[in-house]
Amino acid sequence: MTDLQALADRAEITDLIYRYCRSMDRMDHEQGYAIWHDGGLADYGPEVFQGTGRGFIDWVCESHKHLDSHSHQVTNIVIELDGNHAGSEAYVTATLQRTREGKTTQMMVWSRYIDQWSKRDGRWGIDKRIAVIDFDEVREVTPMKPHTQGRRDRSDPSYAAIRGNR
Amino acid sequence: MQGAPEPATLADTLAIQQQIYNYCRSVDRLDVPLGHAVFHTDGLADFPTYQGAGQGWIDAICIEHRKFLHHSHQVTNVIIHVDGDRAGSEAYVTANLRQMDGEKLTNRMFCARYIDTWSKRDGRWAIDHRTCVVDFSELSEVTALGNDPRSARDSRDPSYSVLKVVA
Repeated sequence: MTDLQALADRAEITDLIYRYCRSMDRMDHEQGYAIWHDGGLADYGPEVFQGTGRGFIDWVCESHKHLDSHSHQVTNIVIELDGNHAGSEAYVTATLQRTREGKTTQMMVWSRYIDQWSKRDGRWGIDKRIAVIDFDEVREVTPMKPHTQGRRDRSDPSYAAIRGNR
Repeated sequence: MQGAPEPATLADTLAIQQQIYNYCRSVDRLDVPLGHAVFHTDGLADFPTYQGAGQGWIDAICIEHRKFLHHSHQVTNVIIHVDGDRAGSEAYVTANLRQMDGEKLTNRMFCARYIDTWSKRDGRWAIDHRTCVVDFSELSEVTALGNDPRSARDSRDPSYSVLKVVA
């Protein structure tokens, strides 16, 4: 493997990890499906979800409808390449807000995405993801004001700049 | 990124990513020339409180931020799609800003996204149009542990001892 190919592989895997977050926050099923290979698995723990990646995307996009807005932010991405296979660990901080009876509650979850990747037909995808929650927090918060410009569908302004799924 | 990126595409992606970071550095250090260099001269900015010239936004924000004591704009999740000499990007940003409200020290947290269109002119990537979408925010009273007196919002900041050149 050339050094340049390794750089390109790392860039593509990193891009897909970010696009997973985008699929969560915009509730974009098609973007979410594109992260896993067909039949790829998702293990978010026995109390959350265990099944296919595609099944997870459908489940989580439905469950996020009960929230007002959310942001999944990834830092610290470690990637180990081995030819057409790779492993990665990515730290994620998810912040989620919801309002009930005039009170806004904010949940924060510090987790890690631990992924097995393979490159098939020139395209990287996840074979198996394990998502581990390290700790979390829930508390009542005071928003500065209502924010209405962001959307959780393809009418969000970001689709003017980033249209495709890869 | 589409399939196997070409070396030139990788270089373009990194140059754009650096400009997104330069923007944060410019607003946190109130560095107007650095901020101006992130936008093309005819680039536009569309923020919740401002619509107009990108470089004009830099001028306005660097004055407006003086009412705060400290602030930190931190970017994650940068998605960039390069198409020749044009590109689009989405970057998540969490901004925390500290202010005295009477006797109380308060923190304003904004979870937002920078949605940008870019062009490369004379070999240099800069923003043609930035939309900033705020997804949610939080106002809270906080207790500081202390203040590092070396942190400065001008060229006295230690970062200028290693980063000197405007992009």
